Amino acid sequence: MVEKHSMSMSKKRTIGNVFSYIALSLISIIWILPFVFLVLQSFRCESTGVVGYVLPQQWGLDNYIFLFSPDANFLQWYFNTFIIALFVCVLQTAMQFMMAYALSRFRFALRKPLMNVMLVLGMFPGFLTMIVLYQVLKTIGLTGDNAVPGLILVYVASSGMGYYVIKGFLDTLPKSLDEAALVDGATRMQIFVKVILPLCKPILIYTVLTAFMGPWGDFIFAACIALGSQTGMNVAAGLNSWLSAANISSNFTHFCAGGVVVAIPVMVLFLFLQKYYVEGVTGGAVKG
Amino acid sequence: MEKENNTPTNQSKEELKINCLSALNEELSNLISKEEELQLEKSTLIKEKQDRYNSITNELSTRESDLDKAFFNDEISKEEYLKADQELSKARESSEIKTLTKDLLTLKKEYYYSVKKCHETKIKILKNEKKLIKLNASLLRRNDHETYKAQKGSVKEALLSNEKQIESEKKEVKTTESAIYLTLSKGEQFVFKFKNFFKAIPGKFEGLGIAISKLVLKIVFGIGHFFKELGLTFVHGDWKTKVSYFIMGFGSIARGQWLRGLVFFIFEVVFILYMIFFGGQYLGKLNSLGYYWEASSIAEDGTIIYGANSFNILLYGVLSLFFIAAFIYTWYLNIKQNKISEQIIKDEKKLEGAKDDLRAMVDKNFHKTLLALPTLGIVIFTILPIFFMILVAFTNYDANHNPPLNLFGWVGFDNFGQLFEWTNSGGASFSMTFGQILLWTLVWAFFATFTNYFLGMLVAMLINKKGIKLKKLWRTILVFSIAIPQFISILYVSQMFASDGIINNMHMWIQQNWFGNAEATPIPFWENEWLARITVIIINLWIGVPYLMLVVTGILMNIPADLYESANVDGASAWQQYSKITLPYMLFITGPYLLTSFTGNMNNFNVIYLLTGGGPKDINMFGNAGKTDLLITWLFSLAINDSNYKLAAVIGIMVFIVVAVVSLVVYNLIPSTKNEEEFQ
Repeated sequence: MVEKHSMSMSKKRTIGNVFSYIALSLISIIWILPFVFLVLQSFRCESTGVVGYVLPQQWGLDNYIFLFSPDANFLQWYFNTFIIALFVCVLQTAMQFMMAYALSRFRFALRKPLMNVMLVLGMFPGFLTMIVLYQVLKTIGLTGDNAVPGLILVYVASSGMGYYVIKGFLDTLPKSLDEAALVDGATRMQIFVKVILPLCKPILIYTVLTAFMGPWGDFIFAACIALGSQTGMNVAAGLNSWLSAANISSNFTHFCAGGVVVAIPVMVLFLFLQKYYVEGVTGGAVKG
Repeated sequence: MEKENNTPTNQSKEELKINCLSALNEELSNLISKEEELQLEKSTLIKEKQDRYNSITNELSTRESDLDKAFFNDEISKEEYLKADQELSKARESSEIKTLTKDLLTLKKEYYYSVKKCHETKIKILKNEKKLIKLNASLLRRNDHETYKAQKGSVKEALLSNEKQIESEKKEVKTTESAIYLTLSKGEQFVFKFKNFFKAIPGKFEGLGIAISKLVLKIVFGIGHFFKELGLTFVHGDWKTKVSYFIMGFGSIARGQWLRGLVFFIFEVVFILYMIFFGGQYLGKLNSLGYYWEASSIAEDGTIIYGANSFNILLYGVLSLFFIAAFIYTWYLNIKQNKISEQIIKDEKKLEGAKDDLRAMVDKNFHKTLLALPTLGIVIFTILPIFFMILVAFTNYDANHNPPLNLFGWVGFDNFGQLFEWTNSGGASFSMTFGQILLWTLVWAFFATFTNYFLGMLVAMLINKKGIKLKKLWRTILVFSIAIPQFISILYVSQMFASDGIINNMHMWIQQNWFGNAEATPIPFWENEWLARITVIIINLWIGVPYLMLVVTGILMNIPADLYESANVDGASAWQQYSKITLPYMLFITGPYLLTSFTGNMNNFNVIYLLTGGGPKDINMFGNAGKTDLLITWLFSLAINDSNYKLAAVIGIMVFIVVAVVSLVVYNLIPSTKNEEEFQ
């Protein structure tokens, strides 16, 4: 009786596993298919518009050649985005660490009010600020062709509000570390730079990674601040403009090729640093 | 004359009151004694039933152990044992036991409710007694001042002990409530919590009111204190301090603290220059936002003659107000600094010089150094714009009042009034559209959050299942889609579902070649209202599940394994394990995360804008809104396409209110640290 029971159990398990494998394979296909389609379309040469089939009738690198030719502003957009991402990932990380460290390690009178104000500000939709920011940047002359520094400023300036994940991590580091260093006569800045920062490697990489990825995907602020200037646009706003009703028939395959070129570096970076990303995401979610 | 006339009636009034209250208290005491009698009855009943229950279960247990013994000693055969075992388990689920447990629960519930009632009545009595004490004291004061003076202390003590009693009774009520909570079924528990939450709202408002009045008092006293200190410092201070009232930082520089003094001085110079050359002109026009005759105009030769610009007036006016507030604060700091320095000199201690200031910046005041830049950024790039847009909601800033050629002005609450106008002017009223979009926003946020949550959990559990190989591969494939910038994947997927897209092409091909249906039409994924809504939610799964999978995997690994082991020993099925262990644990841990993702989905601009652009559009809706528009995408199209900034600002404020209310309500309902015991 007992033997029979365990046999049915193992049988059940194998059947369950078979179903699980089938389900997982299906899920994987569903998740991967659009990208396969995207890549396939980017090699299509016979036409540049939207078509109802997947496999190109004529394969070739025409779309990629177009991207890197002087008629397309793609290289300019790509370069813009890269510069923005580079600056943002350094400056934004610095801002968030400054905010998080001060709120995690110091106790001062305005600490709670400051945190509450930031919480409330976070409940306002971000687009409200866009119209005003555009006007402000226009006054300083950082719109249109000069949109790149303007965009960096917009991304970095109020990024201190996204301190939560880092603070959650810093809160888990024991305070005795700071106290020991204080006894040894270190200043608070030395403690921050020499004691705490080296321990923050995983969360540091997570912050840099997310900060670097952000500008590649933002097209609303970028399009708004560049305001149609081809030299000031970032890659997302530019590619998005290729899909407008007027351009889609001549630029759809170009969009696909551009998407592939944009996705590759981000993806490579991501796959290498996946471990840190997962740590950051789970840590952030559990601490709320 | 009047006084003599009044006193007797007053007295009799008070005596009447005292009599009334005493009578009331007597009645209430009677009520309590009645309730207590009832409780006694109930508790004897409970005891009887509990005894009966215990005896039955004890008997069953002894029978079971006897049976086990008999089986091990080979006194009965296996068949007999199994049969007896079955009978036993049947007996365990017999109707008598079931009714007993049910009765016990209801009895306990009633018992605790009555206990609660008793305590509440006691509180009433105590409160009445308090009034009685006060009334008696005032009577005594009027009639017999000497005795009153002598007894004053004892009256105070009586009042204090009364207060303490009330507090302890309130605590009792709370503990009884938690006892009641334990006797309720799951559904009733939720209703109970829900009711309590809404019952607590008036109390919370009361608390809020008290907090606000305290704050107002604090501010009023603070301002009083502020001016008093300013005056006193001026009168008692030396000449250096007095000069500092006009030239900021003078005192500090004169006393050798040149770094601080210099910073103060530079700030003052910058402020004055700003006000003279930039801010002042806007500040003066803030009340009118510029009159229409001041607007820019186009001269006959085509050049633009620039005039007042409402936008700039409002923006830089608000900036100037911010600046003035900062200036007043700094000015105050500067004076306080003088006072402190004077005191230190008087005490013959050493003043902190520039070197000490610099060291403090990296040591004692390091947090100020750290926070300076991020907060400044937030003030200028977030607070100022939000403040500005809130103000825009009270103006008529739209396409017809668009500076520089046309100016806008204050209109008060007119824009908010539109939210409540239900008259239908030409088929497209703002209020109707707002209601529809708000409803869809909430529906969308609910489905987007929970479908993602459960499917993400399912996928995570599939991958983490024992015996599944290549875990890392499955995970990486899913994570892949996070790595690719959203606008590429979403735009492409949106194209796939278009009427000439790949999906529809396949559908047509299958219809024609497999079913011989030559007249097949494309599926209107983006054209049909309901289909578009469903498709959006399903495609959102494709975007959100990988992320959820990551989050859930981390938490799943933290569930103590022994919970599952003991469940396995008890023979719990997979579904039971999921619903009794995994799900409650997950919900408990991820409660706050669910809340943030709900509000995040309410503002999920990317998915909706890139997939449908808000479409299918409906001419019966205000401002070119579509059937899948969220408040946030509608706000965007109103502001960018229609230049209807005033209504965009109103919607922005409403989004804030909805998000804040949802957060507040849910945060009070989700299990927080209070109910942690449930999992231990």
